Amino acid sequence: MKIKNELKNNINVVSLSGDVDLSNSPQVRKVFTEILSDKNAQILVNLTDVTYMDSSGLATLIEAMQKAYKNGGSFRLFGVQGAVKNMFEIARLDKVFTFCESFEA
Amino acid sequence: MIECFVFIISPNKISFSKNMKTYRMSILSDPKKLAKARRFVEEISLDAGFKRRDAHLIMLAVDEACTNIIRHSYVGDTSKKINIKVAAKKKKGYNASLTIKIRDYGKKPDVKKISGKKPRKVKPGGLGVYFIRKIMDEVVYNTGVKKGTELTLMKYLLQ
Repeated sequence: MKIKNELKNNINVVSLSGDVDLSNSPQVRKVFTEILSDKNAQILVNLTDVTYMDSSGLATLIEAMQKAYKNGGSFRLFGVQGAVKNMFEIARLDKVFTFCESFEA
Repeated sequence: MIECFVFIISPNKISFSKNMKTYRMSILSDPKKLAKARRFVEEISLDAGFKRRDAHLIMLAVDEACTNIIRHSYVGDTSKKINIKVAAKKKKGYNASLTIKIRDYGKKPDVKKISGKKPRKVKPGGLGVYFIRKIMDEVVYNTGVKKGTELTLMKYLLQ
């Protein structure tokens, strides 16, 4: 799994790739924790290249989203597809997260 | 004409009986080994006739079961053993089924506390068992074994 964090137009774009599971979700959590140390952080998570995600990865996203909203920031997902989409459908979290269709949205 | 047979699920023990293939593998209770278990179950599911979406979900259920073993039965000890046995029944024009047995030798869970219901509030955690129960057709925890737990997961494919 790889994590890339870039600041674009004041938005933290966090791009994940590969499998996100118990072995690496703590690394993802660490990245979000650092970003969320700034209040009002605007986060866009790019999941286009994520091939698999388990409940520990999902828990990391939920936790980061809740912290972002609590701090007055934003948290959006981009590129949910394949096995990750299947998991979101099963968890019925499509109304909980905000999805966007482009990087610039 | 030369016929070529390629066996994709090579590193694991396989046995055959009438309409039934049984596969076995062991992993250490190390989160880094979860990917190996996932690929193993995904390939067997596809080979048994399940569609890719179902194979992904079966793989997720097995991953979540192994994750729970690592976290709760072995309490993070990465040196313990998890045995996975998959029996794939395949019959043309009929149905197929997968019986997945996941065995650990750690702390037994309190089965009464494993509800598998979707958490009322959206919160991090608590979704693993929900996924297992939602995806699989039958889920049986056997804590009556001498040491640890044997979890049986069943998935049917109706054609």
